[in-house]
Amino acid sequence: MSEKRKKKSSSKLRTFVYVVMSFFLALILFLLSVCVSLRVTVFSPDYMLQAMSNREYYTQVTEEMRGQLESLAHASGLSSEFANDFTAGYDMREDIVSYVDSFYSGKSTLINTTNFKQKFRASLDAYIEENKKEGTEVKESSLEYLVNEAADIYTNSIEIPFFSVLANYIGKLSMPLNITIIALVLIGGIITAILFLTNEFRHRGYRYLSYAFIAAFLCDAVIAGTVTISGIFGKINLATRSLYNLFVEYFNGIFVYFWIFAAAFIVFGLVFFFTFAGKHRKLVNSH
Amino acid sequence: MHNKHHHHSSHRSLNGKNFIILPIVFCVLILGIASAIIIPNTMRFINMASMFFSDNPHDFSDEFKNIYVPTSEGLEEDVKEETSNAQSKKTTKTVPITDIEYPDYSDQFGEFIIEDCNIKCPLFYGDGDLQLNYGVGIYTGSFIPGYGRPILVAGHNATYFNGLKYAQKGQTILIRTSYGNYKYEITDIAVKKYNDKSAYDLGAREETLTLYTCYPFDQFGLTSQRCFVYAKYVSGPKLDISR
Amino acid sequence: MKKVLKVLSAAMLSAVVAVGASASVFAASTTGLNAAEEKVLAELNTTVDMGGVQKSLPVQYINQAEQYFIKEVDMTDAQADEVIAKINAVKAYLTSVGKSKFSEFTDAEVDKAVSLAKEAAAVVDCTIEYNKATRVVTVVTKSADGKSSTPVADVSVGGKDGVVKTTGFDVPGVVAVAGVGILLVSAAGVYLIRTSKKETVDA
Repeated sequence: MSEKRKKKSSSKLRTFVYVVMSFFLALILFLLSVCVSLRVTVFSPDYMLQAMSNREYYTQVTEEMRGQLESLAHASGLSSEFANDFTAGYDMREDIVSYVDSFYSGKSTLINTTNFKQKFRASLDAYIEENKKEGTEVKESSLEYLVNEAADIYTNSIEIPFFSVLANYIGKLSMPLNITIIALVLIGGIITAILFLTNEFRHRGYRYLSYAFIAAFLCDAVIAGTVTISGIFGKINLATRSLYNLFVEYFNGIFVYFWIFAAAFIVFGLVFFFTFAGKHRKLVNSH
Repeated sequence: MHNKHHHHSSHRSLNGKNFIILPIVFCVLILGIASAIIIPNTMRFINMASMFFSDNPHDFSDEFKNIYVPTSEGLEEDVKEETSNAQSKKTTKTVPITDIEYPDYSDQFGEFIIEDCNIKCPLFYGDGDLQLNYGVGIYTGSFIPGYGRPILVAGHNATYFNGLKYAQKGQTILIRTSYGNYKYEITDIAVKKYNDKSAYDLGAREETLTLYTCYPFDQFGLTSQRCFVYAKYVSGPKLDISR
Repeated sequence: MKKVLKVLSAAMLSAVVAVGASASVFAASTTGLNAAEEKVLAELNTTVDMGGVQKSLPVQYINQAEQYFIKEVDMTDAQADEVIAKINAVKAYLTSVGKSKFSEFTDAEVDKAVSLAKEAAAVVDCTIEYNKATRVVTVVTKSADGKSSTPVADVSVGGKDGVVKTTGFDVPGVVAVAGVGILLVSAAGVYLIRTSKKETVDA
């Protein structure tokens, strides 16, 4: 085999290896975008609280609880005003925030109803005192039953379905996720370094970086685009408006980060492409 | 140096199309690998999740449809019944079920009246929160008037069914719907536990009307007891369900 | 585990609804009851042998199926046969396990039963609503006009079940069929199982 042909085939092999490396870099960038998106959304308590206040979750939950307490009142010889007055004087926001905080911090996700029950009972006693007509029975066991049912409504209003299950995973996966992000950054850095340092022509590093970033852009854009176009999260069936709005905000928010990453990747991809093209032209011209 | 440049320019053009083809190939590979790993492991969850989605965005309106248009059908019959002999009572009119608008869940499709108990309120198909806030409701596991099968109606004891405390045997219950007016006669009143399954028979093959509400009346709080009021069919058009 | 019983019995109903839904697209608003539909109802009324004990589908579910047929479905004989086949597949499996209580089923057996029920539910053009307050899963199907969603049947999966309510206030207003509950129980069922403290059994 002549020297020239040998050189040509080894050059082809090198190119192949570089292409494979840029593939891995694309994979790493994609994984990194997924992990970071999750890190700043699902794994962050602030994200949940932000989604709640963006969608006026507290107001809606309170209104839904009021509606249910009103029905309960109708079944228990109380007026609608009782439910309205009680709900107006009860701050759900504080309880919801501490519920969310408790499961992100890995504490018990059981909802403590003591405070609610005490306040409800006090309102109930005051109402009965004020509205008791002759012949109206007041039986302690019936009142207790009522308070417990009201507390159930309260618990269900605060509770976010499946979140206790999710919280368990979040607790367990938080650290591994952080480690994964660091590892991905390191590996990505190493691959980039190899692309530049081992290349006879330094500017070719930009070529492979460009491949990787454009590919990562495509991956994120395909996923986020599919989700956006299908409008899948808007079609979720949840029975309460508050949960529906929260869910839509929460999950769409995750894919907003995908879009952000996609945009960043394509910008970098193009910058690397033009850098490469510029240097390439310069070299060709100088020749 | 010159040699290097020569090598570069002769073997390496810009290859612009590589910047499109390779990223697409990478993307397909990455998403392919990702779905090959993720999908089999999460199929159960994906299946489950897919059941939570509908074809259209969810509608949260808590309004209900009112399909009730009062008719005098059957009321005239009553007059005839009162004035004529017992034989004419047995000639009950039959309405093909295909001619009526069968109510959907949550529809207000009639009016519920017990004059002796001072009860007059909207009648709904379904007995959820919304319906019971606006009237009384038929349990969807029972049937509509005229069907010839059991009817189970719920109402709150503090609101629309408060009057049931005055219920007595022999009193008349009137249910008015768009397709006819129905009369029932109260035959029995009983207080039972809420989970007493002997309190009703939804499998019966005759038209019976069962009303229930929380018991005792005029009591603050909730109880596990229910007041059941039983009534038998007296008059009103029968629905012909066959085709 | 008791819940699974309901869910499975509901599965039979869902199979019915499945074919019903496919037939309902161009149906008039009230279609009446034809011979094919009566055949399916008769099948729903039969019992299933589970470990020597005869179990039957709670009558209120059958009533709901009947009214669903009356309202929206115009079933052909072929469709009725398909529905009955699906019902029988679930029944046959329940019998073959030979245990009278679902609490005695192994995880694998529950999985299998659930997957059969899923098959039955797979064709159902239904969606779910989960009400965190009433802990009720609602299965709805599109009504004949294709616009609004109409609850199909009442099968309580979680929470305070029962025909008689606290005069309505905590009603599973509408509730659930099958596939839904099944999937919830099988996959993310943890949540519902946790909340199933106050349950009564109909079957």
